[in-house]
Amino acid sequence: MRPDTQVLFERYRQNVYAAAFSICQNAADAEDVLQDTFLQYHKTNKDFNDEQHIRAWLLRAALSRATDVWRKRKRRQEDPLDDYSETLAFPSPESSSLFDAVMALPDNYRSVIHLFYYEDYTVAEIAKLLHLSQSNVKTRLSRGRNLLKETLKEDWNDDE
Amino acid sequence: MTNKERYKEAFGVLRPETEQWEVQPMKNNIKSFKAKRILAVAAVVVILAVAAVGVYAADVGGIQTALKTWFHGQEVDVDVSTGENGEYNFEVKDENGNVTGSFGGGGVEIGLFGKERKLTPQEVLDANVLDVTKEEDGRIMLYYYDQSYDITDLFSADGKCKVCLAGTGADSGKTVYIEIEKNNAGGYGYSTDFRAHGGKDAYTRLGE
Repeated sequence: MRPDTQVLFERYRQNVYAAAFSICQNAADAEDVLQDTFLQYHKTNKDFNDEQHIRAWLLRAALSRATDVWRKRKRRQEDPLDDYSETLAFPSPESSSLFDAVMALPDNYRSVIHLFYYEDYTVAEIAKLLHLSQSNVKTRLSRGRNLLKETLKEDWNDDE
Repeated sequence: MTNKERYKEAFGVLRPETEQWEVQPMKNNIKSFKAKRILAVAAVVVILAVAAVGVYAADVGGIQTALKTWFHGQEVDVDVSTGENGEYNFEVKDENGNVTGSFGGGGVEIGLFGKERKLTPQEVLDANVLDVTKEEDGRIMLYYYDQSYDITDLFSADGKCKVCLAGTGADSGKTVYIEIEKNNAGGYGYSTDFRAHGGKDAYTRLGE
């Protein structure tokens, strides 16, 4: 299957943008990653099995591109976080704290945490999507959760 | 509230500014080959300006390769050298070998997973074989390699135009589909993936 780019863009633009932002932590960079990701889709001749295949492909492409952007910024010793997060209309102070706590996680934890908590992927699905072993995904998830718990305390449950 | 619900609430505030992909096939190809499209504009401006006043282009030195490209339906010879920052400097020559214009540019192709590759000089030139421009007499012309077409009357009321024509160069043997749209700056944006979007019947075939 090969849905029209416009249709997919409307359906997944927020998911791709959020995934990109969770890694590169900069609004302008995330917009660029969003554009690049859908451009890649538009240009690829790949035939997809189903909608889930496309969604996973888009997120993997976005996370890969965002990681490149993030690493380049780190090499240049630029602080990616700008004033953008201060302009976001969080529904509660707890939401804002959670956002900041996730942004403070190491980058290799953030992608796994985001795919699990925002995209509802399972450990096995994340492992397949990021080409990692399931044990590696579990380790990153566990360590990421522990760090969030340390920061957020009672605002982060002990459940999954 | 579960952790997942909290997480989704927190990250649900992230909204991209870009809301429509509608014009993205054009815009993004320009983005992907940003430098190439900038080059195209520069080439048009510089070549026309220099030719008009008859100024001899400065010697950029270090000429490495002689290439050919197309400019508004005419094949021209171009010498290319590489500048200090890796950019290409092109010199356009007439049939007598005289330099009639110069321009610079370069480009990067963004591949799968963000891998970038510097474009070759010929790729930079090949990206400019398609051009849509409004001439001084008001006609809107489409140029593609040695082909040139007056497409003034093919635009719909909303300033859009869909045409197809026989491919040349890397697209030989294929039909090339192009969407053209008037932009806010008074110029024309056009798709460069050469694929039909929607029904092929919506495209007017040129050259028949």
